[in-house]
Amino acid sequence: AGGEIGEWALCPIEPRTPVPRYGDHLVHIHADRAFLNPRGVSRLEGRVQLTRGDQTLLSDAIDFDNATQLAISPGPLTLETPDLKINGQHGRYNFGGQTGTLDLARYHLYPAHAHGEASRIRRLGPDRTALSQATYSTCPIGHRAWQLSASDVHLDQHDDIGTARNVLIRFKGVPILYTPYLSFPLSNRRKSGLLPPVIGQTTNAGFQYQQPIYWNIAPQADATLTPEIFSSRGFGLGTQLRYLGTRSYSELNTNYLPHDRLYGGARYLFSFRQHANPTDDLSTYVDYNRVSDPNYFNDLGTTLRNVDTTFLGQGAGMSYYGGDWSLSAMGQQYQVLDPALPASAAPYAILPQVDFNARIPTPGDRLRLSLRSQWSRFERPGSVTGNRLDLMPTARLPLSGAAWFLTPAVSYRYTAYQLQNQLPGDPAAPSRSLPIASLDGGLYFERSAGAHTLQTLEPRLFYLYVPYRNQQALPVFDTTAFPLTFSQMFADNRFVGPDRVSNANQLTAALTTRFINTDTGRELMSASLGQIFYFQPQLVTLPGQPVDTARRSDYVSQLNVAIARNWWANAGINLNPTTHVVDTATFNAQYRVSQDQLINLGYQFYRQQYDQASVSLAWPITQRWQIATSLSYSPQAKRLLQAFAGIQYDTCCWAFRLLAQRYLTTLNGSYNEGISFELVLKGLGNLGTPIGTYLQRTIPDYVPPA
Amino acid sequence: CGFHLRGVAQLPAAMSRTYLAGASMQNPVVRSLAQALRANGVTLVSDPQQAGAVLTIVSINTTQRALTVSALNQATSYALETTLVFRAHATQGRWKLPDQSISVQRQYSLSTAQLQSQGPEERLLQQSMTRELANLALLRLQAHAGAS
Amino acid sequence: APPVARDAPVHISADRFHFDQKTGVGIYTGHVRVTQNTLTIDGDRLTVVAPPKGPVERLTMDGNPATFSDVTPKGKPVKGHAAHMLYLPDSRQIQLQGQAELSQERNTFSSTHIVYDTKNGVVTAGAPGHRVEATLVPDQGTTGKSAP
Repeated sequence: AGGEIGEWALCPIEPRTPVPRYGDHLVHIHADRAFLNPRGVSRLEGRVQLTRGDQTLLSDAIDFDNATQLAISPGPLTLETPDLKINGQHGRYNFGGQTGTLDLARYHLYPAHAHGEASRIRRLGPDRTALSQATYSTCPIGHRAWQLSASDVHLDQHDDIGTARNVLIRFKGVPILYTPYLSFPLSNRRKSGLLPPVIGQTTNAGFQYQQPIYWNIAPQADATLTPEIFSSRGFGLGTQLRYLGTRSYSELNTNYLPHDRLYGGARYLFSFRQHANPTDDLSTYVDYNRVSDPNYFNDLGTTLRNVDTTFLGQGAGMSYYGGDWSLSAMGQQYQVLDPALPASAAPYAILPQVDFNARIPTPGDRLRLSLRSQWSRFERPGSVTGNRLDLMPTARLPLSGAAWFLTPAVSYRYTAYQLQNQLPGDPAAPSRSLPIASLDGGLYFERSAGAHTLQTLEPRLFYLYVPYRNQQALPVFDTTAFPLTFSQMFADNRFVGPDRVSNANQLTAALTTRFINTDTGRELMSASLGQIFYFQPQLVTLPGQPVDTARRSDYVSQLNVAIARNWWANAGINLNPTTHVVDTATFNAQYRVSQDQLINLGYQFYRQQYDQASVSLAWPITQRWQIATSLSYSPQAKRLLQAFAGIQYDTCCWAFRLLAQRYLTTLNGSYNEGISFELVLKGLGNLGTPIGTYLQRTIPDYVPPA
Repeated sequence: CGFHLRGVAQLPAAMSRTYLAGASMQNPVVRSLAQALRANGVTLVSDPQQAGAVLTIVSINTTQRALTVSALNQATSYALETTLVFRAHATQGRWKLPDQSISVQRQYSLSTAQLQSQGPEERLLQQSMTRELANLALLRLQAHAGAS
Repeated sequence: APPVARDAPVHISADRFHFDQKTGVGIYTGHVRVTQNTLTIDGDRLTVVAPPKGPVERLTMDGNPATFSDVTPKGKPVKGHAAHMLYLPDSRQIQLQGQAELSQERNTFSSTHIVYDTKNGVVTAGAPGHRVEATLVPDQGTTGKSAP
């Protein structure tokens, strides 16, 4: 069990002589001399090996009582078990209970790749070992970069948890952490229990020091209390409670600063999340987040968050899946975090929304009848409020053969409102009902394009007819229009949400070609081009939007390329057919050698909204040094959006990461800089800011080594 | 130019009666894969003993990532990626399709005023992603049909 | 038969017996059996050296293998076999040499050199350069479950 691949790949191989096994429960003895007396106590001398099951004792002299199964070794002895090897100066061991004591001992715990010394090691049973005045390290013998020493250490190989008291951790001989209590994993199966101090520095909060204390309440519940100090703001307490039920997971996170000096008052964060599946068909969720004031994240957020949220969601819901039908209900409201935004600019609170969708089976299942229905209630200060009923029965007849498909579909949509404090003169109970008819059809052509490549040609036509209905009197609660995407060209409504149904008399024409490797079935490349021909102008608009009188939509194109195994790219462009102006463009590419050696490139453009070029990469320079960096830049605004550069030094049993960062805050145009570092004690846990998990979140498909 | 109408898609013979293992019909990707299999003449059986082949869904996971940020460090577009990993084997005979991993990406832009429609927009994109995953999965199965 | 030890008679039976007056050496061959009290030794060839006066001091039994059986002072059966056995009636000791094996109930000892003291039931096995191997059966009470 020396240096395996993976986590310990950089470690020297420490071969281990195999543990003798006889495959029975008898006591097997090898010795130079043996004295067996009738009372059953034998005296064994000379290179003695005593084995029972998978436990073996080696010594030069052992007194063994077969009646009690107790072996006593007055001199140096070695206890070998499959996972644990202990050498002591003297000791005793009971093969029956697998209990015993070895004094002035050295041990090696193979699954944890760990070893150390102890004044006394007591075996308390097959899976539990207690060590007094012990040291623990996963570094190779002889060059211990870090070492944990504790008054007592308890190793539980059943739950794979080590716990230690009065713990001092030394790195390169320098004490770096004292903690009265500590738990750590004995295999990577278990969450890292060591929650060392988080040390960091940001312009908004100054120097920050957090010391989490982990409490393993029960196998399915744990708590983490985190006293914290911000040099420019004061102290606070973070708490995290987690409960993993058989069919549910709940997590409560709170943070409380009694008095923030810069803010001049108390500040808090409260976040409760829960997912549950009480039965196979029923699932529920709660996701409630609240902060004391809008600038909370700006001032106290860690340096390692990606994006800020303007609206903090507070919601809960359930959904029941009944095979042919499903029923779901939810409520959602938001806390506005941007002080500049009036409440009326926040999204509506939905209290509640009930969805009932059903598929009505038909004989032969050729004709597909389905019903989509929704009832919701919308609230928002200073705005029109009310509830809305939206019903849409649909009939679809999907016909298809090997080389063609044709799907006529007819729906009838009825939407009715009951409104309060609408504008004077607007109706209190407006409604809208209209039919929706569509015909979707396509053909599949193919030809061989080389020995192992097949090329397809897939023309598709989609005709949509929806009569015009004046919808100016209808409120807009949760409906919006998104830029045209390829999948949306075949949708029956230009808007997402029931408040607006676009009138339509249009034909979508699209052509897709794919190149497929016939041996593996992998798609090497696919390219699509499509356009919508509007035979009538789209008169239905969102409030304040001009009527779109274009006769033709943008050209919508898409390209996916994945010819070689380790790189892929995709691109999409929407080009205005008359002005030849690009409305939206997107480009993404990745070159990936392994999960910690890859480059991502990206460019996203949306006219008058955003344009952003980004590059992110993680690359090993040598076997020990790796760099990770990311940069997002807006060419038009000539503004750096975010950037970080990180380096990592990796060795057999520890790794060190340093990250320099510059990112925008929610105060227009101002930046926040941060330096953070992380020390990874492999097999024990990480000290400092969790840079590894941050890199994993921000660099697509990147997985840090440790 | 050599193009001809596509012939009937040849799925592995063993899959005429297939047992879908490892996932519940609640998952839209599984439902869409099941639909695509049925559309290609496969009968899905609920009892593995009666199945000629077992299609095992190893994993389906979807990630959402902020793609672009505004000057106020708020997300202005998101990227969705769904990765399906599956394998298949015949209950009799040696036909086996090792783990196949298929990833599909979608992007959508979202202004803060559209937060309400983020859910519905993602569901729309998820639907088109599940259809594409099902078609790509079928291509993998068809490519290995010969060996069954 | 030669004069025997004071306290317990030693009986010897065999197919043939040859006594050499000059050397005082008696050799029994063919289904040789020696019994004394609860001890029985069987073998193919027994060599007995009888000094001019006084009881027999050494009996050497060779066999393919020679075997012995006895009952320990606590009444437990013990038996063994070896290429050849040396029995010293005076000290009630049997020395087994060459592929020797002794078993007491289900505990077995094997070595090239084992000494069994029939008086107090003590077994001594092994000698420099001659490793001993033993297999003991743990009592039921110690089945390896740790104390509750």
